[in-house]
Amino acid sequence: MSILIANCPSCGGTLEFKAGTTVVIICPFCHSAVARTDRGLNDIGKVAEIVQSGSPLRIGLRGVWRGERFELTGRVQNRHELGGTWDEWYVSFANGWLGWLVEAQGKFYLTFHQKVSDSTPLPAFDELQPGRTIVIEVLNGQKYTLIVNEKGIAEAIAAEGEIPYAFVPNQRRLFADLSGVNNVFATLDFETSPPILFLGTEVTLKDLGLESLKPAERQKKQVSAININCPNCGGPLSLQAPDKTERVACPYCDSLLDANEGKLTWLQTLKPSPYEKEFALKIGMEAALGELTNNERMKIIGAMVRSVEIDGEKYFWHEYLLYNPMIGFRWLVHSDDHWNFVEPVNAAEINQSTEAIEKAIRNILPAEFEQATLVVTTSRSVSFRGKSFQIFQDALARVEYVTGEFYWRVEQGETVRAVDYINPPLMLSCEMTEKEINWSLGHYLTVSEVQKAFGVDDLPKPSLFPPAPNQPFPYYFYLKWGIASLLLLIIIYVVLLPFRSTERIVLSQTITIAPTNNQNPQPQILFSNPFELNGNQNVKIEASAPLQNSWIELDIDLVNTANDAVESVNIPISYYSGVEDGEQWSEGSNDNYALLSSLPAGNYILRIQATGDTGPNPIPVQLKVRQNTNTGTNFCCAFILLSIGPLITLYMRSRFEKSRWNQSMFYSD
Amino acid sequence: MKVLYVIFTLTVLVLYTMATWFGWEIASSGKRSGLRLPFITGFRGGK
Repeated sequence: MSILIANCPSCGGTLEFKAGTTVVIICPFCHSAVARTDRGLNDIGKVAEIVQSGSPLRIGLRGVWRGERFELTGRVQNRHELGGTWDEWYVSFANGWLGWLVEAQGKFYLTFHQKVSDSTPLPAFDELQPGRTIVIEVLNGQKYTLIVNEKGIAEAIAAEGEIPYAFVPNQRRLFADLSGVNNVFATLDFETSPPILFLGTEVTLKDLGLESLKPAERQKKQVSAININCPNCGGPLSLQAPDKTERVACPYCDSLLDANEGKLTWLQTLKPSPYEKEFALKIGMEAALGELTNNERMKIIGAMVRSVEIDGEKYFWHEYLLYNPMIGFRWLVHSDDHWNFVEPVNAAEINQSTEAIEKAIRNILPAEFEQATLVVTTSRSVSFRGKSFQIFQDALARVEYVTGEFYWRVEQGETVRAVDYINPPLMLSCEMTEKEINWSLGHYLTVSEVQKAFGVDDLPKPSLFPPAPNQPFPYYFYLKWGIASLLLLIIIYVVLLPFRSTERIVLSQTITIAPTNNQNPQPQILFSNPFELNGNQNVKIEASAPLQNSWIELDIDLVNTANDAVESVNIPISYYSGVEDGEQWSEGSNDNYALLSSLPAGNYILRIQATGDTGPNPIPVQLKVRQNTNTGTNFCCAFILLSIGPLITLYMRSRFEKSRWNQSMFYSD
Repeated sequence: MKVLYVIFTLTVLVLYTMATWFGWEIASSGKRSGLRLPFITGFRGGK
């Protein structure tokens, strides 16, 4: 592309207009903002020097996005009204496109100016509220459903390179950031009326062909002695993210300091923490938490004590702010000795159910919160990436104490509405103020995981009851293994079936019991025919007799004819029936049996001693001896033993879940 | 604890397999027998 060369009207330095769309260029020598008009160049004022961050981007960097080559030609650094800065890089494409690459908290968003269809006019700034969904239709007819993440005032505090619009140093403008599914990102700029829409997507350095970039080596800024020392007590302060830090808590005098362009200003003395527990981890500690941090190490740069008040009782917990220049900011939450790793998620990916819960909320929220977040009624459940999360808590979370650095203007007593939804081991949390809404996803971590990551071994271990809201049941192993072993038992039973011999009858004989005198029944001794038994097979002796309102009792001895070893069994048989009040009744049975485990192989004979009331007629008794009868006792015993584990686990799980939900304000028996 | 539980379940499965293969069975014996699910009077192996 052709380059227009001119001289800075302020210092005379050489200015190179590389991009044809440039309206304002920042002189690299004197930092004047020079506007290009049809009458020439105008000096419109000095611009503050860019606060160098760990950004891997720089003016002149070239990349490729979706096959189109580009160069970064300009940069404006903006500050949010609540603190926090972000960069807007101006992307000049070889094909003439002009894009805006927003870099904020380690994330990148590439957007382009889009004109909207007249059928969906853009809402006014006052009409937007965090959490509200709007539908935008661009000129090509494509519609986007977007959710408002935040709205506020942005101030352009510094710039460099070439700016494609009438940039004015320190100009403040209203803006709103929105997001949609599939990483769609949009900004509404209310500098003009109607507002200007910038629409695009979240991108990675890899998407831009810049994956080889590393964060710039940040040299510790050698500011004046006042700036790096606490302005209140003079204690030395070491800022870990000086380019992003907005607030610092001095650990020596407990002062809350405001950080502005590297200068610290005393704001207030922090009240002591009302939480008796000390922080378990220290500022400066580093850890890599596997895939959660892309195997990168993150450093603790700040910590805070927060609380919620439920039914008049305050509950405290600790939150640690983690930072890595490539990843941005994350949180580690420590509550009741349980740990959660928390990362921000796109609000547009959250789908709220239509079943709303309002009654509980109105009782706990102050009026101003209810009004401000009216668009966000609390749903009983939300879905995120295919998972359903149930509401667990909705309360006001308050900052009780801070230490270290923070990327926003945190204050002691700062309050947000916090709604938690759970799907163990995950927790979706929504924090809302009247200006912004933030969703985050918490991943439950065990104490041992945190200890291993940070190289400590003295973290307190939580008790099993009550569990953390999103703590997974820790004994699923026993349930899964127990069920697997039961299935294995069934498989073994089926597999071994062909190897079991079929049942065989070794004796079938009818003996006759002579008539007896019921008044004085005398035992009768009878013998069966000899028969042969196999070893390793059980023995079932069956007896049946056609009794009618009488009984007999058979004492049977199984006698081994070789060694006279005896195994005795008793088989009583009785049967009674009649008619009473016109209804037939019966009691007992005409047959019975006895079961023996396997006996040594050999020849046997039955010695039967029969007593009973046979009446005046002889009673024929059918005797059968069977072997290898499948009774299922082995299977039943094994099944019962293997069921103990799963049954106990299921009971424990029931208690675990009840204990979990007992802590929820939405729990009902 | 997990190891103990696995050992316990595997032991039950191995014992069941061996009992089925060798024909061992828990059963009652003696004068008052005939129980279908015995846990009382004894166990006798094969051979």
